[in-house]
Amino acid sequence: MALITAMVMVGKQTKSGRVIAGVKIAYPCGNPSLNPESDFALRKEIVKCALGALQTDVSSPTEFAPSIEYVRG
Amino acid sequence: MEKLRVMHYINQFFAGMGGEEKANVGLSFRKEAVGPGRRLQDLFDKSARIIATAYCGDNYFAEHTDEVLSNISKTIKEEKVDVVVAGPAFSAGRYGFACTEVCHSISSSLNLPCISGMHPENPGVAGYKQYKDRMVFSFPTAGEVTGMEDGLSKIARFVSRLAAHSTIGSASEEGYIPRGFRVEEMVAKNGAERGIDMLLDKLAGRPFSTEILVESFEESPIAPRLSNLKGALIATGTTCGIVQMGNPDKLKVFHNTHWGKYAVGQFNSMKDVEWDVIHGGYNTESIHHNPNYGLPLDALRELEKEGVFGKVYPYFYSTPGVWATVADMQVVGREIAADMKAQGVGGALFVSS
Repeated sequence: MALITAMVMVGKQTKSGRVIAGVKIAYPCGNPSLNPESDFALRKEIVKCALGALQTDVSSPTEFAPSIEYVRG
Repeated sequence: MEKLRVMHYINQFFAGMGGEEKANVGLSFRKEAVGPGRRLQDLFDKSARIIATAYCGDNYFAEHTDEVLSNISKTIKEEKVDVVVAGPAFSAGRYGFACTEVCHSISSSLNLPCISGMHPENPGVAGYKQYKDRMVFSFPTAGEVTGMEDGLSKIARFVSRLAAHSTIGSASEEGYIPRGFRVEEMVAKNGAERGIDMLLDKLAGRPFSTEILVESFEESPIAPRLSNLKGALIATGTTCGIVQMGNPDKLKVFHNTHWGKYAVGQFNSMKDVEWDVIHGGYNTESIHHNPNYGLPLDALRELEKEGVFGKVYPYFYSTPGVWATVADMQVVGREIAADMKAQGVGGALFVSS
């Protein structure tokens, strides 16, 4: 399981193994202030990162950051 | 000081009926203090009087809970009871459970203060913390019956405070096991000053008390990596509160206790249809407008078409994640995991707000 959330610390404290850094609490997978193409590209990168995390060995709660420039937190 | 009328709940063992072999005896009443109730009565002194004792087999209680609670409630009303004391149960799990259930039921239905005592790790404490009843106070005791005098003393002292109409303070002030309420109060120093004071104490190795206790969670084993993404059935879930329009499973805005599963097999984007967003903990406007933010179906569909993974599971799992108890969500998590496993899901993406 990969968890996408803006609250990465909480995800790790509650012992989720694979935590993907989401954008904001109100919109974890994207950014409504971007134009639709950029918003979709951001969302796709977040999901790709999550799928990558599923394929990664981890031994303790680990944060994964999508490889795209975005404002988060 | 008024003399409070107390009902004391104990189990078959403390009522002197016997041990495990009597755990199936039904509920009985006596209009007097019984067993440890006699010492409790002494400790009450002038503040209270045990006017009735209810006692029941631990197994009988667990198997006939509603019936027992109903009969206790009836007797409480008839005898005009002011306060209920249950236990102390020490480490006895079924007894602790019974004490918690009696206190929860009576306080919430009859609005009476209820006091119990048990070891902090008694399973009854988990229920006590989940119920979070304002008028139920459970005092920590030893695990063994050798802690009887101490346990009864704590209970008696608190009952005296109730009899004197004292303002009941926080868990740390009064000594009861915290329920988890956060109460506002005025203090001389502001948060920034108190935070710095705490940090300076910590750095100097002086004792300090945290104002907010951070709970620690049990570890679930981390799943091994998914080795065959290309062939995998990938499921999604969300705690952002996205549910089928009309919220047919009646998931809750706060304190949610269960989960739903909704069809998306026919959609390429969450915007293809309208959804309800049931969540009291954040501003749901963005996700209402574009639910893909909380359940990235459009992105998943594109990646599915590109062959990055096998298939999107045609349902998504949903449980609004706000003020839910850890215990409830552990059950939800296990049930969802079992459902996924039964459906052949290889990996899952969950989105939390």
